[in-house]
Amino acid sequence: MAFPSGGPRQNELNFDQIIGQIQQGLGRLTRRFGGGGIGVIIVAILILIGLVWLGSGIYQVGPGEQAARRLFGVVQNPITDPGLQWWWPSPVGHKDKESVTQTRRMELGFISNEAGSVSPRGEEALMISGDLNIVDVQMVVQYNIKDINAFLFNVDDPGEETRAVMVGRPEGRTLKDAAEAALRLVVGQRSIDDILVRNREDVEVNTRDRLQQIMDTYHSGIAVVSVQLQDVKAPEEVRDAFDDVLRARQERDTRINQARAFEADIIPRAEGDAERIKEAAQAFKQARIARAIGEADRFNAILSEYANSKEVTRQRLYLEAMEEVLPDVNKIILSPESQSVLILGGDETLKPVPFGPTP
Amino acid sequence: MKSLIIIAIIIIASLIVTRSALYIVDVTEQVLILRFGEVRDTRTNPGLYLKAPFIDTIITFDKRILRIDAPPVAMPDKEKQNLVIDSYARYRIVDPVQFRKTLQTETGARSRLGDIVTSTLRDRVALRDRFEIIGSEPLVDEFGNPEEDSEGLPLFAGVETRSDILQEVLDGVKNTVETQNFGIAIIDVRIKRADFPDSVTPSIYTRMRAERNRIATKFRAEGEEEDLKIRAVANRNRDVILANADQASNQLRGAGEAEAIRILADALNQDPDFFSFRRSLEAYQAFLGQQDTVVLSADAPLFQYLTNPTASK
Repeated sequence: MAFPSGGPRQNELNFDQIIGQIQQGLGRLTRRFGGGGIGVIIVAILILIGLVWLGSGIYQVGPGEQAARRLFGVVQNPITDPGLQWWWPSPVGHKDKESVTQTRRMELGFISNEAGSVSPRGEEALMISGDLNIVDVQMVVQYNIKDINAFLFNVDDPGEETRAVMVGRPEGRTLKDAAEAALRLVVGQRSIDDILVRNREDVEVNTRDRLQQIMDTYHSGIAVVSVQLQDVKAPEEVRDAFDDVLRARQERDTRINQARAFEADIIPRAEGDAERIKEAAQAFKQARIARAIGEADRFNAILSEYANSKEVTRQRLYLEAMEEVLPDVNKIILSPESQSVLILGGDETLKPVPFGPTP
Repeated sequence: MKSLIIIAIIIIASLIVTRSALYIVDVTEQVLILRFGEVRDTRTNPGLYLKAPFIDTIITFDKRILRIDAPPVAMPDKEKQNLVIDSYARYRIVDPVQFRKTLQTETGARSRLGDIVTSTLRDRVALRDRFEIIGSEPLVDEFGNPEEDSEGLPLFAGVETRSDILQEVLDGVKNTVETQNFGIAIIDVRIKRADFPDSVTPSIYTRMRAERNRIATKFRAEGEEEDLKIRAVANRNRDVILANADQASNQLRGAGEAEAIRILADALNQDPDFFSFRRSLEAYQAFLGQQDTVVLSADAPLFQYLTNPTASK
């Protein structure tokens, strides 16, 4: 066995050679003990131990999983295909399986349990916005592993028990610290109204990009899939004032809508009325003209006949008119000599005094 | 039997020697090989290595990116107002020999580097105002007045001043670390949180509340204003529409009457006397009824034959 000691480093070992030498040694042992008795038992036990040891190297890679392998501390290409695999057991080799396709989730500013209830974490959630207000932001980071070797071997991390993150996985404090730093940086660049209502998506995209950038500087092997703002609100202490603004905005819009409804009600009515008035006037005009034309035509017609025999017609018309008028009225016919006539009582009691024969 | 025991001893002894002579350097580690306390060699590449058994000992250092979490510290800004800043840094041990000499352990590094990061950050923060630390800038128009949005809130633009501060801090810490020859490389310094001190928070809330109350009042007043405006305009429009209609109506009626008068006058003017006669007759027919009493003179032309059948004109 030739191991390098100092000088140029040599990481690769000839395992065939090692195993060959072990076999040779065992062969010599067996011969020494005369090929039987206790020697055989010892050899058998050693072989058995060896087999069990080798057998413990069998492991399963599930769908969506990858296995990172180390041999004497040296990183190998990860196993990416699911199925039954074998790798050197400890202490010669190490294997670590991680699910890489599965999207993992980290909550910031709150903790939800399996029952779905949410408990806020104020110290994580409260932050200063660009207009020096305080805003309460709850966020979820979704991520997965894009490089399992980088994920496992590049960054130290104390892990996080509450999220079941193992020690040495950068999805623990590393991701959390970076997410907080990124989110607070982005929130600090925007006014509270941008964060609360106007530009949530912008905050999400920016935070995601910055977080990815930080995680890439650490070569953490983590891909940030998305950053989602959950509950974004004003802090408890001033929430009623923020709610009142929303209410006031609603009230304003309601009043405007009501006024518009009023407008929409009266204007068409007025227009209808106007149309009616104009039509009535038009009708009046046309009727008036039509009547005038009729009257004029009638007059013209009569006049042409009247012109033929003026005297007779005039007399006839007069008498006919009198015939029409006089039968219905009370008549008092006075002698031209009488100076006055005394009428007693009102219209009802008036009794005409006959004078001569009635017509 | 005796030889068996000897062989067993030899095997066990050789195992112990092998165990002591062989060591594995993991990909996440780097080691120092010490002989009697003196650094004899370093191994920064992973693999299986051999050392002199029993006399050589190894010290393992992490090769990964390591974390320093500085505690939150109140730092005064340019205007002597405190912000509680919680920062963290990342570093890597690049020279384990120097690291062991100066900082010795990760724990030592944590407190030492934490102090350096905090004090460098404090120096930089003291040169900046609040907005620069938070990373925004109040917008002003060309006259220097603060710009406001439609709700009367001041507008802000995001700026990269926080990143600038952190870059300065990173450079500063790098400088210190190099001067002190700690054998480490600083990778990143970040402000995790920058918060108002607890003593200031109530006054911030008071300000936020006042600001919101102002906006709410403004909204309500705007609602009132718009309401009145829209109704006034609507009423005016209605009145104008109706008045215009009246105007048109009177014009039409007038035109109709004028036309009628003209038409009739044209006709009647052919013989005003006849018209007057005929129209009078019509009028008598129209206004004389049963309730009326007519006093007639017996010598009216109507009655010329009444008393004198032989009369003639």
